[in-house]
Amino acid sequence: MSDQPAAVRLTAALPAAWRDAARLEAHAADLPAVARFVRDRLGYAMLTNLTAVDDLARGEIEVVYHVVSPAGGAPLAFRARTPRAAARLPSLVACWPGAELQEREAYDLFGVTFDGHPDLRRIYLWDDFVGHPMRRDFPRQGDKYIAGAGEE
Amino acid sequence: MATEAQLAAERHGVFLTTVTRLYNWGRRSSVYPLSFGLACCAIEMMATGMARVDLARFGAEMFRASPRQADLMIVAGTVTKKMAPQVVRLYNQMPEPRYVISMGACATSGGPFRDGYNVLRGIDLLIPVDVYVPGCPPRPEALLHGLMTLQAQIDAQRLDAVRWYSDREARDHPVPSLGRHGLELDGQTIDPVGGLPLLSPLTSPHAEEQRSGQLEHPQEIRLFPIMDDTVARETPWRARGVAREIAADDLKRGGAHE
Repeated sequence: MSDQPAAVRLTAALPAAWRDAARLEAHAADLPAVARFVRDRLGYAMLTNLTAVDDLARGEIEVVYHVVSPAGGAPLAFRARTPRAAARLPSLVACWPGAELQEREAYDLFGVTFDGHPDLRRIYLWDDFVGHPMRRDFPRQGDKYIAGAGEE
Repeated sequence: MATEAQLAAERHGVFLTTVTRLYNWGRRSSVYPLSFGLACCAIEMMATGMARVDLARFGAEMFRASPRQADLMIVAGTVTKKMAPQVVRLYNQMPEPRYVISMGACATSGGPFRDGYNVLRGIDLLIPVDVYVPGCPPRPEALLHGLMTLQAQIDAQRLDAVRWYSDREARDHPVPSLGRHGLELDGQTIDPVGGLPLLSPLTSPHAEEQRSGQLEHPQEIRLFPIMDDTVARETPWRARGVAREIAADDLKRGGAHE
């Protein structure tokens, strides 16, 4: 194992994969290659968290992957961005099976379609539900937003 | 008031009482709750059953695993929209007489999740509630007080007026379905995204209208009640819905209805 931080080794090994190497933001198409390198070469065998961020100002959804290594060491987070209007990213289930439920969650609440996911259905909400409620343009509801009394 | 004759009879082992009183005594002393928890309130409910607070002192320690054997449903916790049909179905499966305690802020009104997309804004939109226990979550003592309040209500019921023993036709409460924008009853969204839920008749309207039994503004359009006719039999003012200004004064409406 080298003494260099994992992020430095990752950016050096795959120089073409990054859209923004400083924040470990990968191109969508290069995401599987990045994931394989992170798992096989850097030893991050476990995906602990997969979450999404709706960046309404830039019209993009950012999916963040948090991985840890069972051997110890600092955890690592890398990202990928996709346009809100047609949110698609390659699935990482083949790399980390634990991604299956979490990609379904991101699909359910943020509407990100993961290509290659074996069973992409809604997980929390029912199948007939319309919309993705964690998106920031999902209709606000509730008493505090009625009659102009709501917060902006 | 025991008369001299009564006391003399009691010395010979003869006790006089009314059927109603005897019946109510038996019923309130053996309230079997349904073993059923939804969120963190259920932890407090379990603590209420344990030795420190000891629900058994009030005859309510028998948490039944089947709704067929239960008298009381303690709705302990957040009722999500996905869970609401199951809660109503469990209530329908309980034999009458049956009682409901709404435990905690979430079961009562949706609580901190009231403005979310996924939580029912109070279980009383769907089933009648006898006792509300406030708190987030309520302490075991609070639930115990809720049970004692329910016992007082059972003690006060009259056998000739209580809805279980009338000649009405027993009907299930309507079970909502999961629609495109939320819960639906008969194809109508009852808890819409971006709006207020339809008013339940089972909330507490203004006290004046309760006392007089008269509608203060009968020309007003009533907010649609979701209910069964057994409620109409016991409390007619509930069945007629609630006037808009009363609804605006209601805590559960937030005073912002237009």
